This record gives sequence, structure tokens and C-alpha cells, in this order.
Amino acid sequence: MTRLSVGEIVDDAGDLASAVALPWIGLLWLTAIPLRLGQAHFVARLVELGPEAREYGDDLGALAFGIAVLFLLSLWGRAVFVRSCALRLRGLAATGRAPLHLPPGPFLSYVYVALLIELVFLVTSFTLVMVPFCALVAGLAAAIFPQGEPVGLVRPVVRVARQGSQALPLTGLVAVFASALVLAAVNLYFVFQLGLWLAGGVAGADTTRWAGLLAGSNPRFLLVVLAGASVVVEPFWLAALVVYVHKLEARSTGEDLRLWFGRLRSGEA
Amino acid sequence: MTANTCVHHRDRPAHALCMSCHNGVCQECATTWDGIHFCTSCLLEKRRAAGPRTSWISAVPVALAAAVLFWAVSRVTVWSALNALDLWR
Repeated sequence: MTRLSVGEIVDDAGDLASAVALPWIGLLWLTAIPLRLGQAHFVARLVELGPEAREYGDDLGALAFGIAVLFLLSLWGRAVFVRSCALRLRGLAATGRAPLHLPPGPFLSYVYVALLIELVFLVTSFTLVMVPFCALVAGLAAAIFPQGEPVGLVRPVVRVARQGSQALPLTGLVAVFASALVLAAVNLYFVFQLGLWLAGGVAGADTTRWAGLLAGSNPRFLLVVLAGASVVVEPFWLAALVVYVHKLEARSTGEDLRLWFGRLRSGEA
Repeated sequence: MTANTCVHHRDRPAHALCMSCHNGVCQECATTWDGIHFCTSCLLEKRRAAGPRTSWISAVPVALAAAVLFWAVSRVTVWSALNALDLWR
């Protein structure tokens, strides 16, 4: 079996994300932005508290509970977006309310697997090595959700593991989107600086306070920039993994070859 | 009938092949089950063979596990963040 090409997947993902952009990227962003801002606020609060953070365990716990609720909301947004991508890939219309009709069983399986991955991420995140791995597995879990995985405690986990069979294209995708995340963060940082510079040119506008808030030395600002970059990249990341899963399954069932051979015989190809 | 047209809609091109009867099916007729495309009739047969639906029963342990994981995630977030803070300081 020939290897899946990273470039081909990224190209298809760009087209797919553009095709379902209205309104499904909007919905994805609406559900992802509160989570990312909540996470940025949590980390900023932790940095501000510093050595005294342990004394504010209850406050941080309440904040963490709110983030966990926002995480569930973001899972719903992801599932709807991925379903719209999957419908589009199957040639079915992703407009109307079709992507909103999530099958309850597979969605429950997805929530269960996503929470399990989030737990693994939280326990191992301090190592930093596991961060891209957890991001990849969480994306794969979202991408296989529209395939209608039967409900169970083990089968959804096995299904996600099975999709990770092609290590090279997946590593390539992680590298491409990690670079995209850095580029998006740098661009977003300079967009804020440009806005500040332009505002400084307006007569009577006092940008002194904003200059302090939007300075690179302000950890809260840097966290918001990082959160914004992840929100920008997320739709393309998910679309790329949906394309990957779609291509892998078409190859594993031999469906793409059979259809290609059929077209070849009829003289279409 | 060729694999290039849908077995149910002869005027439509085949979008996929049913992996059970190997007939071509259009986008509307193709259904993916466990990652494999099937036509409606084969899927119905598979469903009948699978017996009565027990999805809501099998969903109970998953829902319970998800609830436990949700509670664990909200608790572990603080523990993990404090440990990371200690480690990096």
C-alpha cells in the first residue's frame, strides 16, 4: 500500500475547511474560544499566584471545573464540525441542520474517549513530550467520531489506536500544524502590535495602558495570543485528520482501488 | 449492472462498493458501518443478525465512565498545574 502524502492531506484539508466554513467553522470557534480563553486565564492566574497557588486550591478547583464544562461544550462544537466535514467528503450536503444531528451513541463514545485523552494529557503534560501526542490522539478521536463507532468502553479506544497505524504521515501532520501554530501566534502577536501602533497615530488616543497590556512581557497577553493561534489552526487540523481517516479507510477497504479500476475500464480515468 | 452505477439508482454513478454484496452504491445509499461501506439491504441483514438493539444498555457504563472521567479531569487539572509549576520553578 502506498503511503499517504502529507502535502495531499493538507491541500485537501484546506479545500474541505473552506467548503464547510460557513457556518460550521463559526460554530467551532464559538465553542472553542471560551475554552481556550478559560485555559489561558487559568494558567495566567497560576503564574500570578506563583508560590502561593497551593493556598488557593479551592478557587483554582472552581476555575478548573468551569474549564471542564467548557471542554464538554467544545467537544460538541468539534463533533458538529467534523460531521460537517465527513458529510462533505461523502459528497452529501453539509448545509442545513444535518451536521447538528449527532448520533447519541457515537457522540457519547467520543466524549468518553476525549475525556480519557484529556486525563492522560493532564497527568503527563509536564513532560511536554506527550503534548503533541495527546493533541494528535484527541484529533483522531474527533475525526473518527462520524464513522458511528458502537458504544463500549474498549472498542472506541481500540478504534482510535487503529487509526494511528501510519506513523509517518501523522508525524508529518503534527510537524506541519505545530509550525502553523507558531506562525499563527507570531502573526497574531504582530497584528495586536500593528493595531496598537495605528491607534497611537489617532489624535487624542492614549495607548499607554494598552501598550502595557499588549507587551511581550505580559504573560496573560502571550497566553491569549497562543489561545487565539490554536483557535485559528484548529479547523484545519481537524479537517486534515478527517481527510486522513477518510483516505486510510478507503484504502483499507480497497474501495478507492475498485472505484478507480471501474472508472479506468469505462474510460473515465 | 456494473460496479460503476448504483444498484438502486441506475442513473447515478457509484460512490462506493458494498463490501458485502460488492454492488456499487451511490452517495445516498452508501452507509459506513465500522469503517466499511454497505448498501441498505446488506446493512439491514447485518442489523437483523445482530439481534435486538441494546445500545442504551451498553451506553450506561460508558456514560458512567464519562461522568467519572469528567470529575477526574476537573480535579486533576489543579493537581497537574501545581505540579508543573513546582517542577519548572
